[in-house]
Amino acid sequence: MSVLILLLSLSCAARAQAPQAIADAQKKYDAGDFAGAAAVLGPAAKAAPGDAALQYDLGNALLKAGRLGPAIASYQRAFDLRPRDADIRYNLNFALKQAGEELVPSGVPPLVFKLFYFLSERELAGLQWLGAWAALLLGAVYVRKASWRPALRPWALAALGLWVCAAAWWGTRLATWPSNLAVIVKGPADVRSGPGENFGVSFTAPEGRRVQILTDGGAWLEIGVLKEGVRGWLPASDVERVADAQ
Amino acid sequence: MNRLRIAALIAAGMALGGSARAQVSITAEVDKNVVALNDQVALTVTISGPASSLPQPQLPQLPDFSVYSSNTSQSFSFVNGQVSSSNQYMYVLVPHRPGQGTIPPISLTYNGQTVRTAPIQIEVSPAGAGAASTPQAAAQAPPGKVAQPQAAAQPDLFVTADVDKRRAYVNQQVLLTVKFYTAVSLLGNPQYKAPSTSGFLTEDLPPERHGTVVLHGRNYYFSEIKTALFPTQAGRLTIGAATVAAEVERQAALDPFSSGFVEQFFNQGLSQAEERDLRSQPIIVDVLPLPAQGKTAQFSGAVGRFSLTDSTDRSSAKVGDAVTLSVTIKGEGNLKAIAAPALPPMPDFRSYDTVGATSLDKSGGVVAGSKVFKTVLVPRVSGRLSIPPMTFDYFDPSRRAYVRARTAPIGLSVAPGEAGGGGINFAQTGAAAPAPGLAEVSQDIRYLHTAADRSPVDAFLAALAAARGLNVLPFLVFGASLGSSQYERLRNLDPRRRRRRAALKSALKRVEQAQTQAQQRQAAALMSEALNHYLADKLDVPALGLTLKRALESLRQERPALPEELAGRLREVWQDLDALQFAPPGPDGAAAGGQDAERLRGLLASLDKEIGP
Repeated sequence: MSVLILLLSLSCAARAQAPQAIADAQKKYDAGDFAGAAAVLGPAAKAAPGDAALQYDLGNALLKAGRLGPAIASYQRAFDLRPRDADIRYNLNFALKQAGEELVPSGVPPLVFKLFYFLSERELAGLQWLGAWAALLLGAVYVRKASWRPALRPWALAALGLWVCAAAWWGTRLATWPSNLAVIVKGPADVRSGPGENFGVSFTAPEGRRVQILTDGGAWLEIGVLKEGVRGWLPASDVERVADAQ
Repeated sequence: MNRLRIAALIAAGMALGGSARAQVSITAEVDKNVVALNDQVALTVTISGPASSLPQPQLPQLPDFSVYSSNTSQSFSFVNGQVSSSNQYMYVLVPHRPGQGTIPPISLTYNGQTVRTAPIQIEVSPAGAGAASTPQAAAQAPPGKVAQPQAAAQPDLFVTADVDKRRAYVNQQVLLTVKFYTAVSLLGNPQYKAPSTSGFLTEDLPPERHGTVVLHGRNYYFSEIKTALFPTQAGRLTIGAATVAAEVERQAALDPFSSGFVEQFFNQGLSQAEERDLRSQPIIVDVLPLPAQGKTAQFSGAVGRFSLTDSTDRSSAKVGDAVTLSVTIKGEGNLKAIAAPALPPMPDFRSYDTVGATSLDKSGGVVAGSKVFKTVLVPRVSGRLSIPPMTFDYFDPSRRAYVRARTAPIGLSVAPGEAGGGGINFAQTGAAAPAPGLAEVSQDIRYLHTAADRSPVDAFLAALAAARGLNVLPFLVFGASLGSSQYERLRNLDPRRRRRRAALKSALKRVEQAQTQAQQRQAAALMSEALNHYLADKLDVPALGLTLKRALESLRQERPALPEELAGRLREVWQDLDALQFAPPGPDGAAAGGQDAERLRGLLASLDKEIGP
């Protein structure tokens, strides 16, 4: 438990800088200095990668400054942290449309998508561990104290249910969405058939398109484009990893 | 200018009884209807209609005139969602002969309707004195006015072609001049065939110029045709030969001594035509590619010298209003081939299709003029908006460098729109009638989150998810609990051992119960029962009927080295408890029971230690 408290305190310390950065950036943003606002929010978002508001604000500043790719990367981080936030969903979808994508994949009912992404992966993981703690501790008592079993039984079952449901939800999310997500930040990027310029260009991808990193070859990455399902190689400098800041 | 409108306007809708179909009109007008033979007439044909793309007029045969296309212009308007445009086509007409000339009706077919103008009468008067004239006019003029003593070595008529430069860049103008000279009378209109110009775009430069010139002492009448050429590819390009076919009068000398003199004399002056085919020399132009150094991504191939300006039709508007942005490229070069400059990103505006209108000035042998690109911008948001600077990249051959023309940003004051107002309402696109309520006027991202919005629950769950090592703990606790439980279960499988292990605990519980009894007899009975059952459990004998003697015998069998002191204490306590059970009740029975309970506890502890669990 002391480790948990330590983690909580570290998180709070990083978040303490966020309000000042947001206030400074807001002044620049309101004055139309979007690049200046992004310069203020960038280090703050890196210092507090778990703060969805900072990532969202950074995405706003970058998008207004004309940097679509980095803006989508920041919005995606904010969405990963707080997927049920209506503003984050709206702005991410707004930016994705400019890159030829949409937040809700075609064929998926918006309500289903909204429910499936109501909780973040981090929250689902935490909920799963909370269920595990409760179910196992209650189970330990249940096993030892036969006389307490009638009173413990509903609580232990509820905790077990929470554990199973959260774990299933979390597992489904991990299985259906790539963890090594990245965004193309230089567009149109030449995607080649191999890791080097001596390979021909297979296709070009616009800035802001979300891709999955399939192979990390150092200076060159093999990527798969989520929407079209095609794959190829491009320089590592052409993409920004979404999970880097977290 | 005494401009006379002679046009006719026919609307197709009139024929349909005033139906609401789109109407196209065509008008034709000339700048003068009386013209000298050596002068020219400007004919302007205007087509108007409610569409962005209108067809070209179909000019009829004009046998009385030579026709040259000189200019076109286009205007476009977009008001309250209604598109209308007007195209003007300008022609230069050079009369062939004096007398009454006619421009027949000019027709236009659009959407199945045919509209046409009325015929226009032009009166052509003979050429004025001292003015240049056509070859025919020159041939009809008194010989003394144009004829000069001929030099025997000079040809009677010939054609020349020349260019102003033999080396040019791709898309740089090359001026081709073809001249036809004649020093003799022509029997008809000479037939001119332009040279082949493969690899060039051509632009006629009317009007045709005529005049007289003295070459090598001989007086010639000449006609000059200029053409602007724009090479489309690099390399050595050839301009073919220009050809002129002309009929001249055969010069036959009369020999008074020949036998046919009389016949020749009377035939002289009749048709003795001789056809002459004249050709110029082909010309080779060395076309250079545009340099790669300095070429920008925005460069679209424009070559020449240009300037760039832009303006809006208003300085203030409301959200949803249409504001026309006009971007004008002006200068010398192939303006027809210039594409619209790319608009910079304007997230505060919606922009609609760009329409271009070209106005050319071909005087001086140079294609110049301006091209205007009009874009309708609709502000999405209110406030002080800015249209970013526009840029246009071109190659200047005189500087041999790429040049970027740039405009200044344009400020636009935009007030909030009115719901249901007269502007463009995107929410109502395709709707039969405007619905009350909100109308979308802009699309933009939502504003900043001005406070960190991470809840304590979120932080707790995040910390729990991050504490991966700590999360092993509940598994360990559960495992330990389960293991100990199983161990207990296995231990309790032997009822004799279980009875032995539980003996002391059960006896002490009975002693505790005895201490709560108010009657000394009952307390003594419970304590006696506790001792009896303890020994029965430990020795695995029935408690019922267990006597002190048998208990001691069993103890000595279990523990042969049983201390005598412990056996004596057992005997003493056993007998005391028996005595208390049957003694008469005293006034302080409870207190006496308390002392015996302590003695019994001590005995049980000593026995348990000696016998073992």
